[in-house]
Amino acid sequence: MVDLDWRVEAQAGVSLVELTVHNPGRTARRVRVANRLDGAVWPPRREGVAAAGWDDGGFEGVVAAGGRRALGYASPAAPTEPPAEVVWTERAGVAEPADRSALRATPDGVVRTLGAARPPADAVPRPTEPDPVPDAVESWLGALDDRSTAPTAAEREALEVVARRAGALADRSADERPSPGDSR
Amino acid sequence: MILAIAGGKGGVGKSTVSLNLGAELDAVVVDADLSMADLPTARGPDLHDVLAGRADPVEAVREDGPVDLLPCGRTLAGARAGEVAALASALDAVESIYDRVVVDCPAGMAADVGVPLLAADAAVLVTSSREFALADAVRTRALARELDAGLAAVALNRTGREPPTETLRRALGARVVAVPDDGRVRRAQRQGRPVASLAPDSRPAARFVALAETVRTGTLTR
Repeated sequence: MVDLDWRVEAQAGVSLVELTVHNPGRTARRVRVANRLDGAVWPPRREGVAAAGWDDGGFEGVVAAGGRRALGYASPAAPTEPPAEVVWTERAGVAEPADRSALRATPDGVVRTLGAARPPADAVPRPTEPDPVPDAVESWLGALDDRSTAPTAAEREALEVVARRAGALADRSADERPSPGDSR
Repeated sequence: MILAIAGGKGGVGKSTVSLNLGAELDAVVVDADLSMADLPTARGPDLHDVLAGRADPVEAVREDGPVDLLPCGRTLAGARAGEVAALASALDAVESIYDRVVVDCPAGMAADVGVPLLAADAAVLVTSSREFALADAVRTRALARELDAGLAAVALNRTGREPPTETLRRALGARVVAVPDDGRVRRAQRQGRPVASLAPDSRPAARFVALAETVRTGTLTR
């Protein structure tokens, strides 16, 4: 038989479950560990898909003779004790690898092994809010900002003029808002 | 039958071979190059929508073009949102209705190549006779083998006068069909059409017929 060592803690409304499955026997055993929490299993993920052996109900995999397997998952349910249980075990076949099941035979296995080629989040343009600063102003300031050298005297003067005018315009109260012709 | 068109290297003409082979085999061509799609696009649901669970794969197939096509979206956001593992069942669904499916795979060796190879019954390797393209072809062949997609044929694309077909046949262990470099192929491709529709009597059109024939015999005898 196998022993299950468990620990569960709640953090930010999520239960984090840590499990150790120990097989003291002399033969490898296939083990089914089921979630007992009253909520979905959030399994560990590899390349965006559930790690090998995990499904909606828990984990199934092989523990080597005399070996241990560490497992962990999360769940949106409140912690209960024990959070998980071993529902069955059986003697594992000789050909079953102890730590990696179903290497590539499924689409998920392929993704896990080869890695998803999705573009990184940084590469995806965000839906942009309309920028309140006009493009010309933005690019002028941006160019000064990106440059490694300090602004020249003329540029510094220009910046100060802009700052003064921008401050003065922003300070005007709503009732004396200028007509479009006055703003230049 | 699901036929994956792969090659590892980018820019060797996988999309061109897919479109022309799809036309010859009367198959649905699936543009599975999720982040750098190259085949014609169309309004309506595309493969990004299918992989994100927003559209049915069969309903996303367009039958109004010169070749039946399941187009792919062009946005990086769409490429990121989809589950590449879902591609396998999408290809199966299209095959169950249309019978023959040609998948234009992306470059590289990641899961977006592995999943179509897993779903495919056979693969066609596209390569050019450059050394670096050949190295990628050998790696892709190894991956196809591991995922149980037999090598139906090798398309040696954009060849010059004396293509090294025999050398390649020995190296890759499959029938090699050379397709000569020809401006008409590129022109047809830009219009999203097979070269046979533009220049039916041209040499490249004849070579794509030969490639289709090789694929047919290669997949039947296995």
